[in-house]
Amino acid sequence: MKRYSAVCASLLMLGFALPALPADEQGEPVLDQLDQARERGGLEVAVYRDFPPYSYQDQGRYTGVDVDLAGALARQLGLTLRLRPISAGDDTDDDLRNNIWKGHYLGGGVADLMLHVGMDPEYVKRQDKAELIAPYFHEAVSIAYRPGRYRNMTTPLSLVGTKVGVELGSISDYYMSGAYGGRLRTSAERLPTATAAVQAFANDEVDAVMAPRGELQGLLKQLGGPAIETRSTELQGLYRTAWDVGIAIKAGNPKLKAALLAALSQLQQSGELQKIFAQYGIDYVAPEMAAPIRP
Amino acid sequence: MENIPRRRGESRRAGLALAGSLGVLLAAMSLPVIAAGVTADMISKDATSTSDVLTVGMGQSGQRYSPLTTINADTVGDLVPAWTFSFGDEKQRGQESQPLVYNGKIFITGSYSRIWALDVKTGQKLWAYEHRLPDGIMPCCDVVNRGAALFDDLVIFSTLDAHLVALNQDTGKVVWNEKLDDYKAGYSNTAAPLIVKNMIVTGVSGGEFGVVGRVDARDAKTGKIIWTRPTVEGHMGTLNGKDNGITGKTNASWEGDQYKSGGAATWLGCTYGVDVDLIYCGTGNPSPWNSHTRPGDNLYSASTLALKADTGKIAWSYQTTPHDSWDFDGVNEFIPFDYIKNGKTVKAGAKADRNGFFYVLDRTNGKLLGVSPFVSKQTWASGVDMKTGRPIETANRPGDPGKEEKGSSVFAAPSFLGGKNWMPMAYNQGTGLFYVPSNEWGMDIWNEPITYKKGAAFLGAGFTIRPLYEDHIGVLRAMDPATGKIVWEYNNGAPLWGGVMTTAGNLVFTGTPEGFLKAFDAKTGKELWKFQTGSGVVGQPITWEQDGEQFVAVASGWGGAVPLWGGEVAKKVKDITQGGMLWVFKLHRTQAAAK
Repeated sequence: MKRYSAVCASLLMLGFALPALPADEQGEPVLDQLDQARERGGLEVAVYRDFPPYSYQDQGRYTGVDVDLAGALARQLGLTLRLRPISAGDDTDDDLRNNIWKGHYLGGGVADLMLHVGMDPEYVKRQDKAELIAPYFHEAVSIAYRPGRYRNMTTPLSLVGTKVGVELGSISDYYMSGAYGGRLRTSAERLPTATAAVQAFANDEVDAVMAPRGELQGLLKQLGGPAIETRSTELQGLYRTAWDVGIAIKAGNPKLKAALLAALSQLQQSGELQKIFAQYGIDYVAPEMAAPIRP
Repeated sequence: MENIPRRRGESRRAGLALAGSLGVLLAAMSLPVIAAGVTADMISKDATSTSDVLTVGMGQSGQRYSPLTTINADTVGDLVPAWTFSFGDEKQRGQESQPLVYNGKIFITGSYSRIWALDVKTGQKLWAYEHRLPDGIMPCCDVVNRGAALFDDLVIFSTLDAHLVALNQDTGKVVWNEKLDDYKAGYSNTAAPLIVKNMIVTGVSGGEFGVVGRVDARDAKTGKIIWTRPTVEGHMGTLNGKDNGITGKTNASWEGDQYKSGGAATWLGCTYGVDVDLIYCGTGNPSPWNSHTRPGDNLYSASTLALKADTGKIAWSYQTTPHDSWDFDGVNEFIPFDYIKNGKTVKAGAKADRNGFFYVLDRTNGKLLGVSPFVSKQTWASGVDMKTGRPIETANRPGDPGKEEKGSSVFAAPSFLGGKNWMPMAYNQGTGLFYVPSNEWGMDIWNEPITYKKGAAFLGAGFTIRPLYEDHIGVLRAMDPATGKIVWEYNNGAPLWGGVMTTAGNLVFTGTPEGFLKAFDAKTGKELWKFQTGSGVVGQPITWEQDGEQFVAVASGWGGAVPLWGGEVAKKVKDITQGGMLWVFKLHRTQAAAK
């Protein structure tokens, strides 16, 4: 309570209108997540564990596009970065619940924000406890292949009878398993991770590899694979094969939201964001969704 | 007719009161003996030995039946607490464990991979072991443990990070610690291990993609692997470090390389039929969840497998839900039992499946002998073909997300949490009935074309569980395995999630999420006794005899998968508080009688 009075007093002195602060169940006002982060002195950012080229361990240190972006956002906010590498749940709803608005039942609380969250408008609308803001990149499922193995790649049906590496359980796996009445099903080589799929391609164990373009480009660079023609294609069917990725925060934190939108906008305008992607071998593609209007 | 149990109990007590010399003699007999350790022979006789409980399931067959009669339908009203033990710590959540009793000690596992040894007479803590769990474990369905195994001077249990840990029974010190699998790849373990001869037999749990089910047999003294049997066709088994034949026939019921990540996790462990020397293990659903992308029966998912104890070779298999589309795991316990038909003894086994059917199979060859529903509503199949053993499907399969956008919602019953989930049923040799803890719920399933997994688009499915009735979800049912008829049923408001135990005293015990341990008349289902334990009971009750008195014990502590799911069901259980206690009961004796 004391803490809240102090905040009120300072706001009044500065002559701002008192914002309607959300309250918890007992009616006690809850500080905006940004103020909580400032009190803590650090910005806690959730990124996926073992997710190259976005967030992964390299010689004991976490690195990658999302790790660099997290650092840049924290710097813009004047806070130190606290990284929270998370294990992916069955779907992103689980990740948002465990890391953004509720916390895992094993304990550990929540992070201030989470990166690399899919942002289809319908998906954004469906979330009521997390707010999906600030799209920062556009992904599309793509195929990298050895040109000599295929006469042309005008349709994914060209993949029939060849070996296509995919990450097990990924959208690429589902595409290969279900599209065209399952005609591509036996062409899929299902591997435990996208890294393993790209590695198999680099080792010439498969003729092609299918994955989101950013992962494909980043992993090809990381594994030092041969210079290979990479074809980006919007695959057909009802499968979702292109999407924006953005930032998720707990709903009802207008100050944190405004601060993050401003910080990201600054990173985009200065070209730093594009530079981060380029560093990991990824051609930057701007999100298709416009960032929401500032509150 | 059964014995009249009351007389036995009374005469024993009368005997004690009358003859002082007899009392002294009994006291002398109950002095701690230097135990030579738990032998394979003792394990195989656990179902009939009443002074100890050496196995989860109260015998390798898992009947959970005790011949004890001191506590019976007439005396159970006098059942009162003898002592209790709090697991302590801020760690609570679901306590699905079963206590074990041996050599003056009671061993009980708890949530978060913990285990305690207590003095069986006083409840005094002798030692505690808390397994150090790494960051990043992702248990799918709460941090439960379902009990330990005893062998020689060891007590052995599995952990959430997929280890098998053997501790010295007297000191609690680690004797061996074997990795069952890699928790980082999504593996975990919560089931009680099974002792068969000199081996310890375990399955694997894990909901992530890429998990392939397996049964492992290890030397119980050392933890070293003897044989392993994958539960998905196309995978090689081993025996003594050498290849021991492929499970099934590669690509007979899977296309391409999909079998390499086929699921069929053996997360609930196994039972054993000593007379046929077969280990019975149930398997989980196939992977991925969308059945339209994996044509075929997807063997041996959603099945019961009978494995030869010495080699791990598959003797027979029975698939309850071929080409599963509803998350109907086939993991449920297969309980060997005998019944008389046309004057002949039938060597049978029974299983109440997640899919809502109660199966009776020939335990020697897996042939279907009888099948009937044990829940009131099944939408996915109208019955089972007695000739082929296959379900007769009703076109209730969820739609293909590759073919339709949003897709129509399908209502299917039972829900994915099953007509029966993990909680084990019991078989009473006196009444000849199975006592099945079941739940009445269905689910809406729809395709969720726009969802994400690890930052990438993903085809998901939405599920909402819906109770079928206003006033109850849980139903404890007595099933006659010879006829498939339901003899009696008892309705409970919240879903039943605890194990069942039955005795020759014409009693059936089980716990409720509302906090009660309850006793029912085994023949009529009449509720005879209940006790409020302070938190939901999802544990497995046991009974044993010591110093001429019969005891009953159960762990209390609400949790498990139910509170993790939202919707209508969550409303029924949201006010239940957590806990972590072991409760031990015995019959009340007045001071006068004690003298």
